[in-house]
Amino acid sequence: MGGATSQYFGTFSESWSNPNVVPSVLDKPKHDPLFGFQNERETREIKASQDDLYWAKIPASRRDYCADHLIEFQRCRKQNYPFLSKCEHIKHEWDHCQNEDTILRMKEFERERRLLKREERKRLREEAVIQ
Amino acid sequence: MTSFYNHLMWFTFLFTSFCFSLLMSFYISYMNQALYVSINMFSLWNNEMSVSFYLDYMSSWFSTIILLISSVIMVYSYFYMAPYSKSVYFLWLTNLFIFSMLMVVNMSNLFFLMLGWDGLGLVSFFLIVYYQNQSSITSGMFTLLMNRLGDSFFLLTIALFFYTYPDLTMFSSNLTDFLSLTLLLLTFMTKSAIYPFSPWLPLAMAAPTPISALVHSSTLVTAGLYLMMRFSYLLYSSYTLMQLLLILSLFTSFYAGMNSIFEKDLKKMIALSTLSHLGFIGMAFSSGLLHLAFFHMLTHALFKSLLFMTMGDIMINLNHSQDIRYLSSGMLYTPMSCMVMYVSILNLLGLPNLSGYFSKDLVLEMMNYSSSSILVMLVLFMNVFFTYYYTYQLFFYSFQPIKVLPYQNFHSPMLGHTLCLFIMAISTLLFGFFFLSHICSLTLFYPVPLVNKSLPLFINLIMFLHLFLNTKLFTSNSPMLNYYFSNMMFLSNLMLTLSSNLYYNLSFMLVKSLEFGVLNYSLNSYPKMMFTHLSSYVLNLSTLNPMKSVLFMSSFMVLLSVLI
Repeated sequence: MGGATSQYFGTFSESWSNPNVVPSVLDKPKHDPLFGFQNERETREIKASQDDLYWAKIPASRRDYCADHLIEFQRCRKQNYPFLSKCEHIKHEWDHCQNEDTILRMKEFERERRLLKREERKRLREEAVIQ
Repeated sequence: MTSFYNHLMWFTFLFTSFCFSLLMSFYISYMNQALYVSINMFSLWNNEMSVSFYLDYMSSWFSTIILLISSVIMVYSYFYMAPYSKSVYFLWLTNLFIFSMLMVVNMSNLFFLMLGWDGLGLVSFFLIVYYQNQSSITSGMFTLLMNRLGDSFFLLTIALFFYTYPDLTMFSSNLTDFLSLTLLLLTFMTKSAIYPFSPWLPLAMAAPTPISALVHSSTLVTAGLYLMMRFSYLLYSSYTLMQLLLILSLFTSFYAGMNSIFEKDLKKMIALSTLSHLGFIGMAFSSGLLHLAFFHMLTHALFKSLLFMTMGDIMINLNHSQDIRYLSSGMLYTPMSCMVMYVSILNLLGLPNLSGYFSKDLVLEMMNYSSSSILVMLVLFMNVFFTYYYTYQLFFYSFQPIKVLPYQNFHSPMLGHTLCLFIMAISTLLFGFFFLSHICSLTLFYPVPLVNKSLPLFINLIMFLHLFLNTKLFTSNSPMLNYYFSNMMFLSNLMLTLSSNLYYNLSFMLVKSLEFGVLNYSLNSYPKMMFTHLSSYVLNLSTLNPMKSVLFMSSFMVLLSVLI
């Protein structure tokens, strides 16, 4: 992710000095998601169906793992418009889901970074042995 | 002299339109839908030319704000322009401008959007040169040339779009190649004064203050950013261009902030503040915060136009002196205008629960989650630091020992005038709190650490204490620094020299080769008589009535553009 709250100075300085260990923001992760896990990982599912997303007119950028909470929020908003303060608790649930999703993505970024660092260390060790 | 009833009539019409637009905005936000109206004008070689309106939450909310500001300006401009306006010329120009702006905001067809876009540039030129003195004509010409540069980029973009999608409808045109997107971005950057196209905005302060409040704070300058947001479905496909926009927008804010610290002209200082906020909105947009950037554009339009209006009030009492060092004298005679000015200043500072806090501070928090590096955050907070610095300068200059000017012109406030300011002040105070959830319903607000959350407030407090305890307000002892930053780092001089030299040299070449050469020889007969008769007709038209010449020129340009 490269977000400033995660690692202010680390990724910034490393992106210039050692770009091999900084995960790309634009591309997908290079490592297998199951690498290092003995048992299968918990699969994430989008609880809202494509039909629900279509009829609720959820934009493409918001069709993620928290879309079911968003649909509930939009429903509450429609029922209580313009008194939107009544939907604050549902909005908080959506915000909480998004926050947990962000933390998960930050952890995935950190995992990718540590795997890249591990590869870099192995590569340097092999080069030292050859020399 | 324009009568009050003319202004009142236009105020009534615009305020009614504002109420209707507000209801429309509520309805569109509630239904989460968009309205697309297309009227087929004519068909030409299998291509249909249609006037199409696209009314979604963006166009409806922006139209609402434009109509509110325009209606208030109608009444305000009567009190401000009363000694100067000798005909309905001013009123018609302002209304033509508002019409062009509403065209740009609501049109979906690129051709008619261009008409509104060109209209903005043309009418703003006539408004800037309203006072008809040397400085206003220089500023007006520079603004016009800058705007024409943007118009030429827009024409090229439309040509590229027409080649691939002859429809010219906004959302059906899906051209994402680098050239088209670059031209599109350059178009919007010229109008919104993103660096290096920034110098025209402070120069445009030669216009009357009501025009600065309407045009140069909230409508014309935000037209480019608004269309950037409209075309985000194309622009967001290019990461490189968004990175470039981020850097240029950040530098625009930095450039404006640095220059405003050394600026002692009130209107230029507020213009530089506007420039800083335009850079801020551009930066937010380029980082992916589309809805927050749009929301900040709306709140900024409200409190900046309010700031210009209150400044105009104070300046009237100072015999139109624009020096910030005499601000305290203005406060002595117009304490109410000053109090309303403080409402605008507090919004600029982003104090909690005001509109500026809901728009600006949210952008600062969400920037923590962008893919930008720490350097971007550092520059961003430096720009925030500059904002607080020049805003507090305004605040503290109003409390300085009174410096009374000779020949002061005391201007007693009138009820209508006071009501305008109050309407704007109340809108500014309430808009952020009540309308954030309407406009940014799908925006994600991630929680940030306490340090990041409190950093803007901390900088705010430090700046307040520094200027409060330091009785001698900021003045640099270095003449070099003063000379460099007071002249806007000489960018305007550079661009004026480059553009005007080229323009004048080309036109002299044309005159020598055509008028004194070929045309002189070939038209020395009946066609010459016809042309001289036509030119004398145009000359008479232009000297008779300014409005007629404006209408003639506008219709001629419309005809030309249709034919082209």
